[in-house]
Amino acid sequence: MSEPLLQLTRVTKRFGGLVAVNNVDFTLMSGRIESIIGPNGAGKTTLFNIITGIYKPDEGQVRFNGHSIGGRRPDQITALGMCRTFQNIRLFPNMSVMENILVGAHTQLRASNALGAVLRTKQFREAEEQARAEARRLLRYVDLPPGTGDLIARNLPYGQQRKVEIARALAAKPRLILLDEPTAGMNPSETEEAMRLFRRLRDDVGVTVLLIEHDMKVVMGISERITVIDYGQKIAEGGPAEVRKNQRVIEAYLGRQAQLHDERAAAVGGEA
Amino acid sequence: MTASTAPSGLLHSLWHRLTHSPIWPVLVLLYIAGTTYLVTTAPRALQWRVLFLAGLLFIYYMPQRPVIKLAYAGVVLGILVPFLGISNPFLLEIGFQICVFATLALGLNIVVGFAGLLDLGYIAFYAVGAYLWAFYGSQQLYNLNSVAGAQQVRPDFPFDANLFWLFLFLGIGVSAITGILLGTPVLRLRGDYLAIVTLGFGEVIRVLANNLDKPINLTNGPQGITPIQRPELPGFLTSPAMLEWLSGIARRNVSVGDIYGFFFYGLALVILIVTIVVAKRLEDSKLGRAWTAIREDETAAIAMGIPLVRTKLAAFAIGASFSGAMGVVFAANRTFVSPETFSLIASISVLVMVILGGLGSIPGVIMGAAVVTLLNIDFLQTLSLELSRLRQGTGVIPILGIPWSQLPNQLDPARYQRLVFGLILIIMMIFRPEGIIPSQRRKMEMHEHEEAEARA
Repeated sequence: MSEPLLQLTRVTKRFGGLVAVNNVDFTLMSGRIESIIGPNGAGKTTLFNIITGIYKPDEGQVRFNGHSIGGRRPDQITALGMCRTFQNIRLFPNMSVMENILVGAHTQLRASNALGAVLRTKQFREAEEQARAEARRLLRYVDLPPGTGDLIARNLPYGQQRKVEIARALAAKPRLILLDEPTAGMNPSETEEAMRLFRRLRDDVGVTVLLIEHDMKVVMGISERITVIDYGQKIAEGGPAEVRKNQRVIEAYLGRQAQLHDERAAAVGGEA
Repeated sequence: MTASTAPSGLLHSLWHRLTHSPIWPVLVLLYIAGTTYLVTTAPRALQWRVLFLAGLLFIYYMPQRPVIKLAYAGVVLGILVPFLGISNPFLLEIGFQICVFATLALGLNIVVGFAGLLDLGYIAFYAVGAYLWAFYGSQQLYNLNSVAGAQQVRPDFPFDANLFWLFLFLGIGVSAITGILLGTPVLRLRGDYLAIVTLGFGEVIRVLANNLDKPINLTNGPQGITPIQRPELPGFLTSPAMLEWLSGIARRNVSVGDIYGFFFYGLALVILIVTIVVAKRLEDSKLGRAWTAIREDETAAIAMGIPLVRTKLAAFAIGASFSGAMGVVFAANRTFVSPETFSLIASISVLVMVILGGLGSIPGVIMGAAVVTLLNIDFLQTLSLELSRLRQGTGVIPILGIPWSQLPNQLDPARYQRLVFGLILIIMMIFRPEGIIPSQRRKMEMHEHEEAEARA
């Protein structure tokens, strides 16, 4: 068996007294679509932040594409071939869609240095034009209407902003793309479309996809394997059918929901 | 001009028709010719000077191809200003100072406007450039062991005056390195914290200049360094025949000093043009986009693979290098450099130019520099002169009935420089926070909330 694309070994992250991620082992092979799920506050996004280097784990180590990412800055980790989207969209709001994607291509634009930019060398102009062409291709690829590139990111409808964020991540030519709740706030037809896009990413671009998702329809419909996290700990792992039947998973979700239900009932009762 | 500046629809459509008609460039030409004539009739009159310079604004807003606009601007800046300058050297001085401050403002604009790093000690880099040439271009090297003020003026200098050209480039390099040295420890800080630390560093440079006359006399302390050499001009420019010819045109005695006036105006203009080109090209490049990305969302920028510290340092270094070059020119122009020039208020002045003109907008920042400089050295001074003329006369202040001669000195407008700036800034922040000629991006940021409200 070849080396996994991403491997987390006993990763722990504490914030003061709170153990956000507790002793998590996780392995992701190249070319797969997998999901991490768990109730709110379970530590999923923290895990993403550890993988992308925004947080340093207190214990354990993360290996990506044959490199240990310990001691690397987030931008260096991105340069290794990993890119992400954010739970609450983080486009550069006042830049055009095209500029957003060109920023995503930052690590790819090696020929475009400051001196070349000042002198407008042939090399610079070619690199820029190539990047723009690639950006236009990506915009078509994520099914954004032509002309979207000139619009200001902030003015786009929500669903399109999500797509731009994915296109921006793809511009970095990643081997692994981390999508943090990519279908949050989408309507059912947009969600359908997004799921098709994720599959295409893997099938025709060959990008490995790791999702954090709340929408069970998406998770069950698309994931080849699901990792369930609760209170920072991995409580289950396996295919969709397997996870769905897992008792601890049901408890984690249903228990929490039942509790919520009770709380809500109590609150309503209190008001009445 | 844009729709927002015209008061009503009718006026706007008239304005639009006029500016887009083929006679508009001719009208602008006539305007320029007319104001040029007026300046020649009364070289000292402030109003004609301002109207003349306003011609550049008409050129900027002329809806024509850039080549035509550049040709117009070239005629005004390259031919008319020097021509008028023969009889009116003050115009060259204004032009020189506007170019100097516009370059400084463009450099600061890279740091504050593009990368969003508030630097309150920017003038320090200007000081580095100025002191660099002040040290090597003067006799200071002979005076390392003498007490400030006690040294004798000697006939010879340790270095050739023409090394000025080399130091122009050294100034760029040295101030860029200073930018990196100052930036490295502080760039982990954000926002207000960064502003306070840069303010401190700016003061450190000034205090160093003030105190490095002991134990080795490097800066000659608060007395400053003088004389500083100017580069030699080509012989024909300073030849008696040339001076005589120019004196004939100007109907006054044109000296070699006046020729230097032309030279420094031209040099500052060339540096300004280079700076504009560099700033514009950087803005529209990978580095420029990285700056904007960092300003808009640092976390997302890092996630896109942008190295935070290196990109911010690049902004610091490039911004600093512009003012370093101008510092060298300034030292040669004034032949005197002292720590006073580089006070905190000077840093803030440059920041005011950037904000007043339009943060992040290259034409705006130049406009801001022009407005502030004109206010500083022309408007208020002229008002003061006018007032002192009245004070010497026998006139009486209307309504109040007090003779002008009893008007207290404290009311001298030149003393109210800061007050006037403060008022202008407050008015701007209320009515046009995005600046005189805003960048599109900033304009959107400023009006984000209004739009959101309108949508709701």
